[in-house]
Formats: sequence, structure tokens, C-alpha cells
Amino acid sequence: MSKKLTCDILVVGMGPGGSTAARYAVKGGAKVIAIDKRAEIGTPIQCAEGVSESVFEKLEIEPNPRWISRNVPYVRLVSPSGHVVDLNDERVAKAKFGFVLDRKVFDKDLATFAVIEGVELHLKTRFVTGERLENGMMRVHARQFGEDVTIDAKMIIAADGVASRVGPFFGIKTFIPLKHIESCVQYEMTGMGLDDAIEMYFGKDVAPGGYVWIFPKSEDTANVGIGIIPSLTDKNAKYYLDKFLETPRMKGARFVELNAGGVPVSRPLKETYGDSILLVGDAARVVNPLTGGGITTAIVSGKYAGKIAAEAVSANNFGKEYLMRYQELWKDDFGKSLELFFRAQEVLVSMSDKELDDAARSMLKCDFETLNEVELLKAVAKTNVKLLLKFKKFLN
Amino acid sequence: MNVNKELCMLCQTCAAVCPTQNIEVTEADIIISECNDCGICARACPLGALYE
Repeated sequence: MSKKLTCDILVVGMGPGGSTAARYAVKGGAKVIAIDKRAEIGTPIQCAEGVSESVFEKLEIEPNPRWISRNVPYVRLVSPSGHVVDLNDERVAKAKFGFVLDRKVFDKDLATFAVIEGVELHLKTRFVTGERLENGMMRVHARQFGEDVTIDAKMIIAADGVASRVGPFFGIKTFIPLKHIESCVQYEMTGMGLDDAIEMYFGKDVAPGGYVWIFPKSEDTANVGIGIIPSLTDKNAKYYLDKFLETPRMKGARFVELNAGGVPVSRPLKETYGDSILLVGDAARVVNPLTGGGITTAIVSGKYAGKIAAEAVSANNFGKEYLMRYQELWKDDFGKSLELFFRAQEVLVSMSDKELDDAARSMLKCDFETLNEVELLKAVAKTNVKLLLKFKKFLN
Repeated sequence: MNVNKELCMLCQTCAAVCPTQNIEVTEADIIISECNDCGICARACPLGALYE
């Protein structure tokens, strides 16, 4: 006899999106079970861990200083031939702090908050298959510590990441075309000297379709990583990152930790909802395609998913039309910016090294009001006709 | 498709791009079933761990 569990809402995957969804669902009065295939939430890290201040407001939880590895006051962009654009408080009127998180602590705390609110968390529990029962219930077959477990839920929130398995089992195609994924490797490193900046290096020989990043985590350690678009090159991400380690910038750098992962840089899924199912975070492709940043969007989409799922339980209505409100909510919140960033990313990928150098040179002549992507794009668009045409609709 | 498990870090990038969604990455292993040898996963792998 395999173990049987029942609940109102099953959350699969307890990254920041899943944990937030689970927390809001249980606060909305639903009985919530969450499963994660890992034994410990927060590891392994598959992320550069950078966020902006606004993420903490979205969480509606008092931020804990333990979540933050280091404050990073400015951004440094480096063009292919080495033009350095420092977006610091001399150039940006209202510069805001960026943060590099300690996701091992952050993710685990978000999961803990969900558990404190009443979520029943099952670790080392892996989604295997799913089916829709005749009575409308969603049945999930999972493996837990070497045993079969069956979970019946009124609805499912799929927060199982870039390689979502839950979506496809319930009829939502999630696979990503090669040109819309960033293939990433990251080394945590120490000893190379750090400024108070998030550094980003561009160029087709540096990181085709993406960039190399240095995100400081402490006085002397940083996440040094790369994302590339695999359809643009025959080499892999590790090849390019290892090449970057040969540059003078990385002199003296030594390894502390290795990570790898994939980041969707597509538009969001057309439908992030279906009968009795919602998708959040990377599984829904709600990621900023320009930077690859997905923590904030995962949290915000998770919040709306949790709320709507709990309302669906109260209304006893799990139909697609009812759940569509979830997508309307996240679209109202950040849909427009994701579309802008998607177009910007398309242009960025198409830019030659010379065009990138030109863009850097013209950015050096600009002053900025704030340090957000829209502001920066506006400034760059003024110097690049191709960009201006693409963004016309968005940059008013 | 074959996996060099000494290179694989179970990061799931291959599973995200597999058009038939036949790659499953568990907490401890990578399982490829019904492979058409299209080679897309090998190109996406950040570590060069997949080969024909």
C-alpha cells in the first residue's frame, strides 16, 4: 500500500516562487501540501543571486539582514573593446542599492515561513507523473525516500523551475527553444579584488548572446558567472567562462564553489494557467530576459498564484476561466516590462561588438535619473536607431 | 545521447530544451528515455557533458 495524501492545493518546487505561493495559499485558508525533490531547500544554488531593493516590499515580510550577502551600490558595464561604464552616484541621480543575496539562507527562510503558516512540506519527494481524475481532482504520483506516494489535490501550483515536468503532464508545453535559453556556469571565487559594483562584460567572444557577471558576495568573494545562448556558438558556457578567467581582471582568483543552470530568456508562456493548474516563476518563464533575473518575478507570480488558488478553493471553481485572473494579475504587475526587456534582449543579442562599443561610448555621455533598466534603455535608445524603433511603443 | 556523469552537475538545462521532454533530472541522476538524437540538449549543456 503506497502512502496517500490529500489536500486543496499542491505546490511542486520550493524555490522562492513555490514558497511564496504556498505561504499565500495557506494564508488564504487552503490546506496546502508542498513537495521538493531536494533534501534541503536553498541548495544547490543555480543563480547569480542579484536583486534590487524592491524584492523585499513584494514579499511582505520584514527583510532579514542574514539574507543579504553584500550591498552593491553601482553597476559596471564593460563593452567588448573595454569601454567601462560605471553607473554610480556620480552618474545616476537616485542610485539605489542592489543586493547580492545569500540564497541558501533566503530560500530556506521563505520555505520556513510557509511551514510556520501551516504548509505541510515534504522533502526528498519527487514528482513522477500526474493524471486528472474523473471527479476533477489532480493526482500526483511521487517518490519519497524510495517509496511511492500518491497526492490528490484540488489544484496544483507548478513551481518546478526551468525544466518543469509538472506543466507538460497536465497539458502545458514548457520546453524552451535553444535560442531562448541562457546556458550558465558560475564559480564562486575569491582573491581577484572587488569594487563596490556588479560587473557585466559583453561581447561575442566574451559571452555570445549573454554576458559575464561578477556579483560581489563579501569583501573578497564573488559569484563569477556566464550565460550564453547555445544556438549562437558551438562552444559551451564553461569554455567561455574559463577563457574569461585568463583575462587580467581575474588575476589571482581562486575557486570556492561551482554551479550550473539554465535561464529562460523567452516571453512568458502564453498561458500560465490551465484547468486546476497555475505555473509560477521559471516554470512559467516569468523571468527578465534582459538580465536573466527571476527572483522577484518568481516571488510576485507566486504571491498571485497562492492568492488566486486559495480563492479558487473557497469558490470551489478550478476552471481555466476562473484561474485566468492569475495571469491578468501578474501581467498588470510586470507584464509590460517583461515585454520591453524581451525586445531589448533581442536587440542586444543582434548587436555587433562595434555597436556595443558605440552604445557604451554614448552611455558615458549620459546622466541617469535612476538605475533601472527602462531608464538605461531610454538613454541607449537615443543613440541607436534600431533600438529606438523597437522600443517606440514602450518608452513614453 | 550519452551523458558523461563526471561532467554533469544535474543542472537540468538539457531537460528544459529537450523538444520531447524525455530528459528527467532527479536529485541524484539524469535519465534519458526515448531519445531521437536531435542533439539539442548537447548544445545547451553548459558543461559539455552530453555527447552522441
